Amino acid sequence: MALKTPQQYLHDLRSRNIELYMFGEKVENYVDHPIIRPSVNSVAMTYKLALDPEYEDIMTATSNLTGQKINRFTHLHQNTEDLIKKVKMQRLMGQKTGACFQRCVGMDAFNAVYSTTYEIDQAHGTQYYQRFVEFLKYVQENDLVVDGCMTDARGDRGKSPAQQPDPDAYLHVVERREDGLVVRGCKLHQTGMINSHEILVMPNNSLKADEKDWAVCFAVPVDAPGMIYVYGRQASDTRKLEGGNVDMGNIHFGGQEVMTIFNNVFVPWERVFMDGETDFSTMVVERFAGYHRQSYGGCKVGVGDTLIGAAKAIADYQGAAQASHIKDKLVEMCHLNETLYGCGIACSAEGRKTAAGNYLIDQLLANICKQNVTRYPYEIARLAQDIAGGYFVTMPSEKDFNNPDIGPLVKKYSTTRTDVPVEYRQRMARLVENLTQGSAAVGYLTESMHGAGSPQAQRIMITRLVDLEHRKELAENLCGISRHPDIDW
Amino acid sequence: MRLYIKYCGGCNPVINRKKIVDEVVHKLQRRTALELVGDRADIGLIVGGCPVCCVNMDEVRPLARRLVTVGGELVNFVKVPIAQLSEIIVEQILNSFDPQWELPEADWPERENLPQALGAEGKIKHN
Ligand SMILES: Cc1cc2nc3c(=O)[nH]c(=O)nc-3n(C[C@H](O)[C@H](O)[C@H](O)COP(=O)(O)OP(=O)(O)OC[C@H]3O[C@@H](n4cnc5c(N)ncnc54)[C@H](O)[C@@H]3O)c2cc1C
Ligand code: SF4
Repeated sequence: MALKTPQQYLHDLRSRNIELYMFGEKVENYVDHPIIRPSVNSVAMTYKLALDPEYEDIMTATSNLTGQKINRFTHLHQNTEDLIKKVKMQRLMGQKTGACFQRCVGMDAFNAVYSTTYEIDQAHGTQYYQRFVEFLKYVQENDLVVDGCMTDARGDRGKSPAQQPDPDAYLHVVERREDGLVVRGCKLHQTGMINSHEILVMPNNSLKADEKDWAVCFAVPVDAPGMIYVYGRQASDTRKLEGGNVDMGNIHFGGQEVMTIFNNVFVPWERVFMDGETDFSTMVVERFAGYHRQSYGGCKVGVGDTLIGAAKAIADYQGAAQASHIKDKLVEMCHLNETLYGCGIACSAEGRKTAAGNYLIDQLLANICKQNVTRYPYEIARLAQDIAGGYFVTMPSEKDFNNPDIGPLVKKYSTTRTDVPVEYRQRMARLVENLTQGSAAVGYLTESMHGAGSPQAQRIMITRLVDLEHRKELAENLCGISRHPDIDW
Repeated sequence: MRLYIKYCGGCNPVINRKKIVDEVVHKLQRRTALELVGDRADIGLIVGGCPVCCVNMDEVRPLARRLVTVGGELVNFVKVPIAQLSEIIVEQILNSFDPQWELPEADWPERENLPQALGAEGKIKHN
C-alpha cells in the first residue's frame, strides 16, 4: 500500500487513542472537532493530490529504498530535480489549502537524519543508519505522516541544556535500559503533531561534549504511552464553533501546532538513531533547518498566491481594480512572492549530494531564502490590507448579515459594486483577515518569522557561509591595492 | 600515478582552489611518481570552490578510473577541517589508487565499463 487514500488516512487517525487537551478539557474525537478538522483536511489533501493524475508528477516519486511509487512527502531527494520538485509541490499545496499542510517538517527531518546517521556510523562505527533505513521503509510503504520534532521548551535562553535549573527544559535521556531508552521533556510548537502517525525527535541545538543525554534522536508513534498533547490556540479559532462559515475566512483548511510532552516515554533501541554523539548535533540541526528554510520558499509562496488572489478579488468587488496604484501594489506583491520562490528554487538547483547519497540544499541560499521569508510575507500582508480597506476588521458578523431585522440594512450598507453579491465581499474580506491576522496568519506570518529558526539564526549562518575576505580581495585587485592575478597580457 | 585535475568555474569559492591544488601536487610528488594528464587518468581530482561543486560529472567521469571530489570544505561529500584539507585530499587520492593499474599489462578499461564510483571508501575525520 504505497499510496493511501484520504479516507484511509482519516481512518488511521480515528483508530487510535491519544491523550489530547484543549481549553482545559480532554478531547475524545479530535478528527471531527470543528477547531481541529480544518488542519486534518490540509494533510488529507497531500494524499488526495498524490492520487490525482493531474498532480502525481510532483506529488509522487520513486523510492530509492523500495523502488515503489511513493508520496513525495516521504521521499529522500535523489538529485537537484527532486529538490526543485519538492518546492513546487509545496507551492501547489499552499495554493490548494491557503494554510500550513504540516507534512513537510517530517520530510525535512528524515532527509536530515538519513544523511547524518550515515556520517555518524562512518565516524563512530555505530549502526544508526541501517535502523533509520528500516524505519523509513516502514514510513514509505505505509504512506505515513511524520512530525519533525526539534524545538524544546528551552527554559532560560542564556543557558545551555546542561546548565538549565530544570534538565527537562530540553528533552533528554533519563534511563538507558537493556531494551531501549526512556526520555523526558517537551517539544513546543509541533506542526501537525496529532495529524501525524510517527514523531521523529532530534536534538534542538549544538551540544557540548558533556551534554550526551540531550544528544538523542529517535522515532515513536504518536500514540506511544506517556505522550501528552495540548492543542495550541490560534487567533479567531473559536469562530469555527459559531455555526455558519463566512467568518472563518478559509472554510476548509487550517494549520496546527501542539505542545508535545514526553512524560517518561520508552523508545526501543531499533528506533534510536543517535544516543550521545554530541559531535553530530550541529550537523543534524543545520541540515534539518536548511531543508525547512528551503520549504518556506514553496509553501509560503503558495499561500502568498492565495492572498494576492484575495487582494485582486476584493479590489474588483469594491470597484478599485482599475486604479493604477492598486495595480502597482498587486505587481509589488507578485514581485515579492516570486522572489521567495526564486530563492526556494535556487537553493534546490544548487543542492549537493551527501555521503549517504541523498541531496542537500545549498545552505547559504536556503538561509537567504528564509531570511527573506521573515520579511516579505509581512509586506505582502500589509499591501493586501491596504488594498482591502478597513472593512475586513470592522465588518459585522455573519449572524448580523442573516438577521431578519437588521440583515437587510447591514447588506445595504455593505454593498459596493451593485453587480457583485454582498456575500462575495464578505467572504473575501474574511479570507484576507484569516490570512493576515486570523488563524492562517500563524503559518503565513509568525511562522515565517520564527519557524525553522528566528531571523538571527539565519544571519549567523550567512556570516559563517560567506567568505568576506575573498570579496575584500576582489575589491583590492580592482583598485590597485594588490596585483590582479589575471592581468598577465 | 596519472592524475587529472578539473576545476569548477570558480564563481563563488570558499577555499583557495589553486593553493590547495598546489599543496596536493607538492605532497603527492613526495610520495609517488606523479604525472599530470588530461585523459586516461588513474585518479580525477575534481576541485569545486564551494559545496555545490557544479563540475559536469558526466563529462569528467570517462576521463579517469576513480574520482576524488572536493567541494569547498567537503572531500568526497564529508566536511573536513580546512587546515587539513590538502592532507586529506592526498590520503583520499592515495587510498583510491590501485598500484595494479601501473603494471604493463593493465589495460585502460573500455569507457562504458568505467566505475561510477565517486571517490575512495576510506574514512575521513569529521570537522
Ligand atoms: C507556527 C510555528 C510552527 C513551528 N513548527 C515547528 C515544528 O513543527 N517543529 C519544531 O521542532 N519547531 C517548530 N517551530 C519552532 C521554531 O523553530 C521556533 O519557534 C524558533 O526556533 C524560535 O524559537 P522560540 O519560539 O523558542 O523563540 P526564542 O528562541 O525564544 O526567540 C525569541 C528571540 O530571542 C532571540 N534569542 C533566543 N535565544 C537567544 C540566545 N541564546 N542569544 C541571543 N538571542 C536569542 C531570538 O533570536 C529571537 O529574536 C514552530 C514555530 C512556529 C512559530
Ligand atoms: S509551514 Fe510550510 S513548510 Fe512548514 S509544514 Fe507548514 S506548509 Fe510545510
